[in-house]
Amino acid sequence: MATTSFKINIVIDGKDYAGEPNQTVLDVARANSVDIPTLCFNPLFPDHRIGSCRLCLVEVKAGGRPGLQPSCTMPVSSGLSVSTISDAVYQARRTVVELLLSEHVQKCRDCPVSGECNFAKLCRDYDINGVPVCAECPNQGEGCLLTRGELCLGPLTYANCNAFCTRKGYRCEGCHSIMANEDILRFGLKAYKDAGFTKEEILVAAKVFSYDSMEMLERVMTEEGF
Amino acid sequence: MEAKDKFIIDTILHTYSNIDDPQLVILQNIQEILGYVGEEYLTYVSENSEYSLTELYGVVSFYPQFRFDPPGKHTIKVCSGTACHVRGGSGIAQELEDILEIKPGGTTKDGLFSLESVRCLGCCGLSPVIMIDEETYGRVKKGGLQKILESYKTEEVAE
Amino acid sequence: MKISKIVHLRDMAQRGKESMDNGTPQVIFGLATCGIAAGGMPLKEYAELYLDENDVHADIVSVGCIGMCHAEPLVDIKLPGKPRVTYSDMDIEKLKKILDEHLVGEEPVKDLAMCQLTDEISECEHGVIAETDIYDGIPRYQDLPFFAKQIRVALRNCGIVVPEDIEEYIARGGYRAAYRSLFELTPEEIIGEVKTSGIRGRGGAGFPTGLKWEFCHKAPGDVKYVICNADEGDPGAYMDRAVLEGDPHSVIEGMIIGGYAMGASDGYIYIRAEYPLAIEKLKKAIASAEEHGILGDRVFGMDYSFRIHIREGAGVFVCGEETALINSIEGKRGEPRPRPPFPAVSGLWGKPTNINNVETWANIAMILQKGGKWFSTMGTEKSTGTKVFSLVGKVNRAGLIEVPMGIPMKDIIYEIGGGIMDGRKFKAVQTGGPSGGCIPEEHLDIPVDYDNLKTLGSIVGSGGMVVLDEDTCMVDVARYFLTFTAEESCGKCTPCRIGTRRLLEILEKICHGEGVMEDLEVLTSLSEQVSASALCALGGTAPNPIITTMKYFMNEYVDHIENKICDASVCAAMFKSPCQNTCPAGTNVPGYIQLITEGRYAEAYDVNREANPFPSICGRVCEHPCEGRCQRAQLDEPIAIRELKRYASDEAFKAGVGKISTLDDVDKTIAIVGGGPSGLSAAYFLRRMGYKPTIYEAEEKMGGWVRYGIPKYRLPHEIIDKEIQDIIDLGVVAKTNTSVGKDVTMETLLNDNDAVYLAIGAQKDTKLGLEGEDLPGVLPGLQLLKEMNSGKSVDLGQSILVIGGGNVAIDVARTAVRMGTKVTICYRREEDDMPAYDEEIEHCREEGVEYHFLVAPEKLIVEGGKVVGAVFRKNVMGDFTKWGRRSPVATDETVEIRADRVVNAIGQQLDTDFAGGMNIVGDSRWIPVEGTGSSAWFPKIFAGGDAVTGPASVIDVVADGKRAAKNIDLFLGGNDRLAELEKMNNTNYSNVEPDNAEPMQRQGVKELNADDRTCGFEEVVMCMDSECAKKEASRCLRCDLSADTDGGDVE
Repeated sequence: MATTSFKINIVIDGKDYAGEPNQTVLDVARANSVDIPTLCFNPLFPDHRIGSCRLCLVEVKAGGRPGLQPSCTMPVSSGLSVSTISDAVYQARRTVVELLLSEHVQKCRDCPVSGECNFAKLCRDYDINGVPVCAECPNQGEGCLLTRGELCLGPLTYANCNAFCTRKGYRCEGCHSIMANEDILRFGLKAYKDAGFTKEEILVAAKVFSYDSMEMLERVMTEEGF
Repeated sequence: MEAKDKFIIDTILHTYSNIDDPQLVILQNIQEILGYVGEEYLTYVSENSEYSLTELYGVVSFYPQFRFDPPGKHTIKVCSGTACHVRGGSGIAQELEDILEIKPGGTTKDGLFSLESVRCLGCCGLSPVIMIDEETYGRVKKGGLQKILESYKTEEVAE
Repeated sequence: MKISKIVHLRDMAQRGKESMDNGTPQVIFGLATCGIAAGGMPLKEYAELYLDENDVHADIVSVGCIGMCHAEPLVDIKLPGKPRVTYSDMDIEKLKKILDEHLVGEEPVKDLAMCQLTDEISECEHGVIAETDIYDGIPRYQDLPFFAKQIRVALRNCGIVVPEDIEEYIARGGYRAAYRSLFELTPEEIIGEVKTSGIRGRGGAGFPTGLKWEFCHKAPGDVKYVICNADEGDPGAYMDRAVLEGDPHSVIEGMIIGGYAMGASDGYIYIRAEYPLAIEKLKKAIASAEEHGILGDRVFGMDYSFRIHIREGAGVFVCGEETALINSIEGKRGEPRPRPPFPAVSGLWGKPTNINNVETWANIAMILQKGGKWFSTMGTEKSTGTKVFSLVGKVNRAGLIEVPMGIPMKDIIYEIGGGIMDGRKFKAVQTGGPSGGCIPEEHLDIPVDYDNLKTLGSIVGSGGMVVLDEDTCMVDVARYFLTFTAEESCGKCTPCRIGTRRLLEILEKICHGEGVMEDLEVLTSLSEQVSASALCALGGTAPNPIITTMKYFMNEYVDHIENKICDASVCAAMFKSPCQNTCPAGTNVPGYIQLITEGRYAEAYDVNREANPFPSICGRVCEHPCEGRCQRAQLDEPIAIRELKRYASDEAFKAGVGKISTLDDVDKTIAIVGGGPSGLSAAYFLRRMGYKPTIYEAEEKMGGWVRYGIPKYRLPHEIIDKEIQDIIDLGVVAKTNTSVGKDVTMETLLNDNDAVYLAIGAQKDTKLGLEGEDLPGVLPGLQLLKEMNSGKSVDLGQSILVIGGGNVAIDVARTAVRMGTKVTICYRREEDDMPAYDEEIEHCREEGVEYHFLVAPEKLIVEGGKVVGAVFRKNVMGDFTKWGRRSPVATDETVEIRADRVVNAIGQQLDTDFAGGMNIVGDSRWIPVEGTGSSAWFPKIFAGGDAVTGPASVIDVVADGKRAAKNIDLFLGGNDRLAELEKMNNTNYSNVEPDNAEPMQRQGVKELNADDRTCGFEEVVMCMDSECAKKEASRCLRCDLSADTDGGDVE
């Protein structure tokens, strides 16, 4: 491959960076440790960029068609200035994550990703309440606190704490409140049944930090035969 | 798969061997002549061309024009375009579903009719519109549907 | 023969001209897809048979679509040297007649002829027909309102030439532009000409075509492509089909010019597989162009080769997006690609590619032939030229039209389109398909161009224009388009794939009556996000239908969510049957019609009376909005609901009616001002809820407008007495001869009662504003009508002159005729504009009343201190206003009309004397009220009827009274006693869905003939007989039953 010393200067979030021709904004950002989240970009196939997940959207401030553009397919051009942190970018990305979440079957406790979930991290980054603590918790299978007989509220509780307690081996006390999502509760409750906890035990534990969603929890428990 | 079908597909493959990226055209021709693009046809095409079965399946599943199962003798297309919608097209579609006792995409038990809901047929001035095979019927009314269908049924008996 | 010299073109043009007018008579059929769908084929077969059997020498010719879809099937007859005459709405019988008389007898059938093609309606070369050869008494094309404002450029040949015949195309100037471009112009000059024309892409986005060509021209590379996008997917648009079916050569010529200018040697036409006829015509046209050396190696013998290939689409909407289209031509899944790179740099197979829409290509040859300047003189500064629109939906003259950009929307809808079907009310026009938006009435005067529509939140798009009327629910429209986009989303990018689905779910929730107000916020914010972040234009514009309907029709969203009402009777979960939903009083129509079929008339009357205390009155004079929504109309004709109501009540009176259900007494009193239908209705419902209402009526008898305003021949007084007596019998106190403001003050009423309902009507005549109107000889219409109806003797002289066009004018006229007076009615607009009921206008004419239209009173003629007539200024009808009515424009002609008396019936006003010192009305014309009907300034006072809305129909004011009763109950701390009342009615009737979908004629009613009725005050419209009534009732489809099952599905 021919090397070239020809550089193109672009601005990302107000700072100057130099990129090569044929590079995209995402390439330049990654090379300079500017964080741009992606889901559909696969580093193993760097040439295959389809621009479909829309998480890498950046806002063009100058030197290009204004508005949100996907950085993974946007070639660098001189004079281009983009923002990765503007309000519009944040809102757009947040919507994308929310939309993906709305279609996601969340059986996080069984998920092999085991505490390394990118998606859970995106929810955390974009302040979306929607995944249970299990999504962030590395204790799978044998390691699960419930399996070990502790009344961990992880499967029923909103995450975004990066499983602070369970990572250290303490049970989740549900401080982010019980989730108001029937599907997740229903799936989560199976684990309690397997571990042999009673309705009363779970309710007493859950009540400590939760109020609004208690009614739903009780109802789902009844439906699930607790 | 019958030898006749193989021959047809071979001919199609040969006919379009000289145009660029013919996969869509090939599949369209198969559907037109054989009525549908069944699994066995796709497999045969993939074995006899540069396209993998996955690629072909990807294309076929993307375009609603293609069907994986043999169609009924007559295909009824109900227009669901805007003009038809505001002039009572959804009522027509419902009525057809009731008369034929099938949902869009289905085929009647006797194999006579398939029902499809299609986007605009481009006869908005005559809405609501249905199309049976190549024949277009404009300004249809609920009450007239039975009569239109009857004509296809009697034609069947006559044959 | 290969064409390589201009003389070759001339030769062919000559042959083409001969083929269009070659001394043989021609029978011409419009046989595009639309013509075939309308039944053109059997007609053509019949004509062939006819010529054969009768041994007539004539040619049968099939042409494309001329755009008059509303009048199809069309058949034209052209005799040599004579104009082509178009006959519309043909059937075999009419066809035989015109073949007999016009083709053989050489005399056009004037009654059936729609128009004649004398000189050109399009911007094209043509032969002119001599004035002397033009037929008398048949309008010319350009005189038809449908064509008058059109300029046909892209559609220049559609419906005129035989589509695949290259000679005819050349005869009309075709292929000159391509020839000249290749021989005389450089690519830069061609692109320059296109840039001068200012034409913008007709496919939707409106990007300047010249610029696009320049990008592609300048892009490096030896191999380039041009593509014609004929994947016309917008529901409601079909101009591409019409062009390809009617004039395929125009597209081919455009592509040759474009291909040469951009240096492409291959062109692709990507066309929908759903257009088989267009594909067929196109293939034939390409073959004949190749045969003549216009396509293929060495075009026109020049050192330039150009081929056109056809690729069929496979039914995916998103393939209309250019990058998705390229993927599809490459045989891949038709998903859009991210741009950049733009197709002009890297398109088909990675080569520079230019994509234009069919209509854009069809314009190119004309631009090169007549010059870019010529094109840019049409239209507006930023949107030049003409645009084809498909005008469809609830419009009288649906069809394909080509108009200069910048034409006001109202002209398109009302002048070209002929207004809304069935006399309905316009609601919105949807432009641009699923990517566009809805434009409401208040913006109808905008000039249509790219930028104006954009500011309104819509787009020109490919040119679909779907007119929506009051029967369309705007939430349902948004839902419909989102269903479309959610289904057609290719699934590549997140916001479109999932976002449209979430949006659709919310809309469905609202349509099913399960919405909450928060949903509206989510709709707004999610719509914004989806449009900002989607990959391609389909996703980016998908929320547009939601955004615009929310912008202009928020009230409908709120109605759906808060009140669970779908006014248009579309969202099935919110009502039982469209008729019941439409009745302002909510009468259970299917219920009582069922009871009639069962012969249970008294119960039918009672079911009526649950919702409305005046079934018998309404059975005679109701405006019956219910019939307008009757679903039976889709099969044949609506049910005669009003006549059935009358039949049931007449029978019920004979048999004796049942007891009215009431609730326990409540010790609260309500004063009702006005004993008209609204006041009586309020009293009726309040009393049934247990309250103690007292009605204050200034006249001697109760009944108000129904007694004093409606003549006896329409509504006999016994009927009024009977139904009012039933209300009084419930325990309502009626104080007649008591005028509020004179005999008792508003203050007293307010002090002595827990609430007051004002139903005082609109009792004052609007003044003419002319000098002398207080002199003898001028009679105020309302006053006169009241006197005549209460049987007082009035002196009308020998003749009267009634000024006005409303119901008052008509009622005065018809009453006066019965008193032996000669009557003339003068109205300032046309007959169609008269606010009076159509049937009454007709009755009135039958009874010998003379009408003068388009005359406005200017001066009263005073002789001897007495008015003896008036001078009128003659009007002509001017342009349409955005409200869909033409406004009258004064001329300098006047006319004098004399009569013994002049009756002023131009309008009604609120009489504010009742209020005394209280400021109830303020500066308003009518009493201002809140949504609940309570006065804007006095919560204890409620108001309704004509006094609030202006003159309204009986059923409207009855509904107002009912609503007031409900709200007074809530105001006084009741727990919705009206709902309790409604629950008490449990009349049982059969709920078996009837099997009556076979067409059945609507039963008519008998009327006295005009001579018999003018000699007295006998009721004009007679009651149905029992056989008729039962037959008519059995036509009811019982929509209430199917709606129930729909509701079940939802849950």
